[in-house]
Amino acid sequence: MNSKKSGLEQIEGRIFRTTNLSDGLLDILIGGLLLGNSFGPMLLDQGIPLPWNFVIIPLPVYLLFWYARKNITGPRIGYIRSGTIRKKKNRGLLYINILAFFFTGLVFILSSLAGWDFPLGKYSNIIFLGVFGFVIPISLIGYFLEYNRLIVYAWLILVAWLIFASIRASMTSEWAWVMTFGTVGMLYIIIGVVTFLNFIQRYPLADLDPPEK
Amino acid sequence: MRKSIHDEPIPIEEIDRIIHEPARLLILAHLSVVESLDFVLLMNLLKTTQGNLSSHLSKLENAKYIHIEKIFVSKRPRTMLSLTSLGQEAFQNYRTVLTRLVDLISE
Repeated sequence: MNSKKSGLEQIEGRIFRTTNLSDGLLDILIGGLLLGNSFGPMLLDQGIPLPWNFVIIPLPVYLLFWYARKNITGPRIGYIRSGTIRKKKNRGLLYINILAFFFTGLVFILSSLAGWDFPLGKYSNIIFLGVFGFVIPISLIGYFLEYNRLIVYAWLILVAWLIFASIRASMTSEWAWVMTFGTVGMLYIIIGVVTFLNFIQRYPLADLDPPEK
Repeated sequence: MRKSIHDEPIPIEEIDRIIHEPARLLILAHLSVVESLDFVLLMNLLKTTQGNLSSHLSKLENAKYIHIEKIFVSKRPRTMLSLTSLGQEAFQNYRTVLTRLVDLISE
């Protein structure tokens, strides 16, 4: 992909990756959201109603992400106002998301109308939904952003789902949910924390005296 | 057919000496793909020192190729750098001239 890009596009991509992906915070956020959501069914059983059971853990993770970006990594790496190249790419990503949303909605509605009775077994449409509504769009986003870890993360979700489908018979669904998606979420968090610590070492907080005008 | 070095004069005089220095060329290349970016980010991207970068920025600012704006965000100072229209034009010209020059000396 890189060889087809102009040098300036490669420079823009490098600026984007440095400012948005090099600090590991996005990995921690994705992992935290997944880990939080994996506890959703269990919290529902504990009497925390929908949608709060899915929000109660991810919300502080998101606030932590926002705080860390603003106060820890932002001042270390610096700031950018995107140009036309990034705005064009963002529009492309928006179209992918809209297409994925409509496709997922369509399959969901058709599945509901069919009473979730699928020719390939109980979970076939859910896996279909997961692959086309989540794994492929997220992989495409990772590809366009050159955020290779995101592609791996997307496919790990599918692996987690397959493991969930195979182990849920031997334990309660709530525990199977935590064991699979929670484990994948923790894996993302560990990768994010290691990346974050490397980032802090590589970019110490500089005491700057910028150029006089 | 590609012109040989004998057909076309070498455009040495057309090469902008302000941009020709590698660090300043990279500064303009980075600024050309964004609306603006701050001093710290540019220092990190170019892996240069504060003094060195300040010196190059001053030269580019004196040539009116870049605009330096000091702003405050949440009471913290931030030095935003952007390319002026003159800088954009000079950068494009430089790329054209250098491409011609490289074309002339290529095998």
